[in-house]
Amino acid sequence: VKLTSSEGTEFIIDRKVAEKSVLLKNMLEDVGESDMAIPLPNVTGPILNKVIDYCTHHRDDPFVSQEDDSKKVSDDIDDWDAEFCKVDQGTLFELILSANYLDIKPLLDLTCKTVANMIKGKTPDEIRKTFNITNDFTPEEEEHVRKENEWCEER
Amino acid sequence: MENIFNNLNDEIYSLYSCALVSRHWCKMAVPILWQDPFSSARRPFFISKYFSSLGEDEKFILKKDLEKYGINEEFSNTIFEYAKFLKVLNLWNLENKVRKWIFFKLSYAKMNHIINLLIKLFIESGATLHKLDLNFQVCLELKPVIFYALEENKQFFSRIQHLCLGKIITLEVLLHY
Repeated sequence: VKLTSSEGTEFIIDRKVAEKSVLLKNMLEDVGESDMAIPLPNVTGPILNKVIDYCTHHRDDPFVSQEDDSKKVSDDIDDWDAEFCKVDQGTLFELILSANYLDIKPLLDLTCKTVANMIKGKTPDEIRKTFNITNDFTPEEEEHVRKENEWCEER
Repeated sequence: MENIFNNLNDEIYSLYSCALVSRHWCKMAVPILWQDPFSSARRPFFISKYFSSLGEDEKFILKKDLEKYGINEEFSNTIFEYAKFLKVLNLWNLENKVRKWIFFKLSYAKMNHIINLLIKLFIESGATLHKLDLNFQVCLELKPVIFYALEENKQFFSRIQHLCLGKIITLEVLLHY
């Protein structure tokens, strides 16, 4: 299967690897075998490369359906996946967007879990620093939110 | 973002932090925080926040009912309509939390009443304190009658040798003095 990234770089991958993406799987089922490259205008080359790495490593994993996510545990990331996610924040967020666009649920879950782990146990200020977010609350609004949700404060 | 926050489902403290990061994060985190509050091990004080969304008549009746038991509950407007975020309803947990809420509120109301009665008694009995520690819980509310009694019985404070203001003391209390 041929894929082209947003810059026009061509990637050739096994159909089994491509089918980890529900979007590509449905496309391939609709179109059938074809030499035409599938354009992926929302995915850059370096990100597509990472996505292909992930799908190749997990090519034999069983398919995870949308309904199977009842038990979410954010600590159960295996070593290969943890290593795979050791990227800068920009890449991590692009991976989330690509996994969402390509409909690769296990990759979306993995990358979201990784971000969730970066949030865990942090104070609002530490979260702002980690993700470079500006606090746009007025002091009154912030106090209001704090008061209305203060039942969460007990650990 | 919702997918990220859903991974923090069991991490109420982390989600609470997220709600305080910025307006956008708040809008995303609050609905998850409030999807199953009755199952959390936290105290049931969140229940009061639902009352703000009641109809005016319902609020009026509830307020009157609670006042009968000495519970003064303010139904001030909330930023969000929290009731609409509920995703899980377990009647056992609902009953349990409501019972605890009433117990806490009622016991605070009664506790306040008894403490106020006792302090007034001490002041009016002619006692002269040597040591006073004003470190008390936020929920303790000293009634105006205490301060009137103090005006009339200046001996109560006249011999104080040790005074501790403690950590939790509001400006309001100091101003009364």
